[in-house]
Amino acid sequence: MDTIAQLLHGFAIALTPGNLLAVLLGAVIGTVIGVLPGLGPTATLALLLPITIGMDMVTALIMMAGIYYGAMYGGSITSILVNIPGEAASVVTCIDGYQMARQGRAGPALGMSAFGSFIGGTVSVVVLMLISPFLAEAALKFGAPEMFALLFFAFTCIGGLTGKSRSQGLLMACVGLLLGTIGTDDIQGVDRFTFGTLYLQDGIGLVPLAMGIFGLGEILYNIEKREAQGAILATPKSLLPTAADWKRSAKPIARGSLLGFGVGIIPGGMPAVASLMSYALEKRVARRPEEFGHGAIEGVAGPETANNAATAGGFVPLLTLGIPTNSVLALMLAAMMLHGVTPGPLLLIKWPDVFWGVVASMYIGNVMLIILNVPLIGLFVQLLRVPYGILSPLIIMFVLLGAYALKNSVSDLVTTILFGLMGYLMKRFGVEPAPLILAFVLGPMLENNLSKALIMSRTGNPLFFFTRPIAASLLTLAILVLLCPLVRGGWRYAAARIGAQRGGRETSTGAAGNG
Amino acid sequence: MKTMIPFRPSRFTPRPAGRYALLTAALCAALLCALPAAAQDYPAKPIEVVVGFAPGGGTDMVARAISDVAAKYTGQPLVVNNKPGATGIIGSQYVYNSKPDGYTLLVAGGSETVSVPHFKSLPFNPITGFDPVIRLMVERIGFYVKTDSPWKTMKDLIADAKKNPDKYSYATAGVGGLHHASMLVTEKRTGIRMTHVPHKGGAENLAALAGGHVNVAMASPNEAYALVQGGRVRCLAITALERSPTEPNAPTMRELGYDIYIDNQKGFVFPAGVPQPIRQKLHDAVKKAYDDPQFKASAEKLKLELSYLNGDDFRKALKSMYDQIGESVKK
Repeated sequence: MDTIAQLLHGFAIALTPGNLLAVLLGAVIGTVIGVLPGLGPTATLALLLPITIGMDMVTALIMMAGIYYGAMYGGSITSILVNIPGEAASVVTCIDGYQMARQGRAGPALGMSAFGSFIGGTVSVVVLMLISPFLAEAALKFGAPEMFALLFFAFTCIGGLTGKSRSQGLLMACVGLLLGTIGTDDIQGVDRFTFGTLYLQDGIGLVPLAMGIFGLGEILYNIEKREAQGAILATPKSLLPTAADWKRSAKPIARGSLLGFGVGIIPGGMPAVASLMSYALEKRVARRPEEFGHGAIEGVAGPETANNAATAGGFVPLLTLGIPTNSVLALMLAAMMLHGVTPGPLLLIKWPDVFWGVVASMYIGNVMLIILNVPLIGLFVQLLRVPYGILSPLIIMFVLLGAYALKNSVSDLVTTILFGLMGYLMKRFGVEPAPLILAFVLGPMLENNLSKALIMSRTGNPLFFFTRPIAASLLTLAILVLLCPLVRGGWRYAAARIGAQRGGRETSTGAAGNG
Repeated sequence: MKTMIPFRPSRFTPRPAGRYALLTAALCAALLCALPAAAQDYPAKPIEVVVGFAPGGGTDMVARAISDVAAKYTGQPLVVNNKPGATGIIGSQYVYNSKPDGYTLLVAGGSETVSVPHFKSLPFNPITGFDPVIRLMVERIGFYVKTDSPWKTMKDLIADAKKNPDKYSYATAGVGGLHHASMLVTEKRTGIRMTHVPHKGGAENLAALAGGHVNVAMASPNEAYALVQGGRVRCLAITALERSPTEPNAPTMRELGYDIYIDNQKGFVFPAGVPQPIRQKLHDAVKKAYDDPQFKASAEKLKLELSYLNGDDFRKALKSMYDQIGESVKK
């Protein structure tokens, strides 16, 4: 009851004209920077930070939060329409979102991404509001061993990510792992594969890599296939997701909400990680995994829900403990301190207006984003009617501009172009990029947390993981997932034998998907 | 279109030689004046303030706060340019290679200047390769433990860790950074040995401490502020010269009798070779901005611990820390 009264008070704050304007402004700015590759919420908030000094505390925070989750909405738009990830969190949306657009289903993809984001964001805010102090406590229990176990679990799903050829998929995962090792090792501080350059010390960035492989690679490939240029992008059929789409997306959205929120509250858990994990999970559990990579709506709905849920989840440790789990939240922390507000356990007692005002504004912001985005879908898909000869140079320009803007670095441009060539070759030879991307992002995190955990164990004994309850249960789960196909395969084999002996009409239902 | 008078070069008839002579003389005179005039007119265009870290960190925040105010006193905007990468080294190298004309400066004095060079070979010397202009702030470095830790004081920690080498672990924001280096210097001076668990950035590092995954975390008082206020962690000691206003109850290592003095300093440095008058001029303008109540107010709110030094003293402080860390890393 108390919570509801306070939430209503929060709405009273968030619904004042000034704050409503802040939500709207935040949502619009966020969508725009989400669309523009290279310009992310971190840079935007850093630039806006000085301006917020002159603003009312709650208004400033409401606007900043709006920019953050607005960017998650916006990031998916370019991923789906033109295969350029606007944000790290929407890299994975390129895979199936763009394929849907090519089949003339850009509208449903955009719509499902917007609705998924809305649901994921809203579910997270509800959970955040109800049980955040308890959750923050639990999130702290997530140390390096637990993080390792979670990532290990995610890796067991990579096997399911491989497309028509399992060996090829695993090979691409290895390429991703190798690319991920480039740079200074976080534990020993040793340079790996940097060839003496400073640029490579930080490793290769996800956004230059993804913009190259997806954005540039696609364009190069299309230029080669000249005959396809006229009808490169099918004309959109329907603008909104159909009932069938909803049916297929319901479970991915539910799973994405929970997974995203869970990953979001963990220190080091970023929206990009949440969306990748969701993609891997969806493909693993999908009834028709062979459709992934060819326009499966589950591959859009799950990850897009997860990244928004993670965004809201990140506010749990920030507001209740004062721990920012990523650089965007660190800027929000700075904005709060700029106004003399200290997030943490005291926030709810000393500054309830801040907590409840921001929470209420997140409900409003999510509604606003869906109102803004859904009617605009019709407009966005019109972009696909632009002749490819005009569209493609523009895409190249935005990709290169974005690659430079990331770190004001010319070297990132070179990286993007090189990965563009790689993306072209992958496309040419029908290699699926998903395992590479997943291994590239999660591999270094897995290694880092394994090293940290083994240092913490002091003896280096791997059994250390099983002395910690969360890590032990996650690892057990991962082992079960690994064993599952073996058991299932064995059972099927036995069933087929029995069926053959009986001379029955045993059909191999569902076996195709596992190939 | 046709009515427009076409451009006719023929209208510029050749001038008598005498006029050229006059022009040449004037040019020569202008060139002769150019050297002192450069300092007089400085700055004649916007000044690029390079930050070697991503937006949002302490280095970036002090750079933006001072740049906003300093434009009032220099008459030209100071434009912050983030060149993040390799613990600030990418930005340092960019400034090191830039023209020493006073229009490119680096916000330096932290890990990239005094600590990282001892862990990696760099194409430049971080101390002699730059000319310090002014120090603006220091970020103190503290030894943090969980509130329920058995160690009540730094002396407890040192005594316990001395008896049990490598038994206890400490978290830092990364290998080779100042927080790591501070602990290496502490180990050297106190004779303790602890296990290093490097994390990615200050937030993960403190989260690991709050979750009880490590025994000690090295952090700056402003990073830890919210957790300290929330009663989750406390500060045992700091490595600074004087106590931190944010953490007034934590003694300095010097007070405890150990010769340790390391701060994460932040100030402006030019690439070596910028003429002294230009350095002086920028120093004076930035010093006025430093004393401006507007800057003081935003620094206060951001919990930036302001601490002024002139260029020469800044250089001495950098050299002292560089040498302390160098001797501890070599072992």
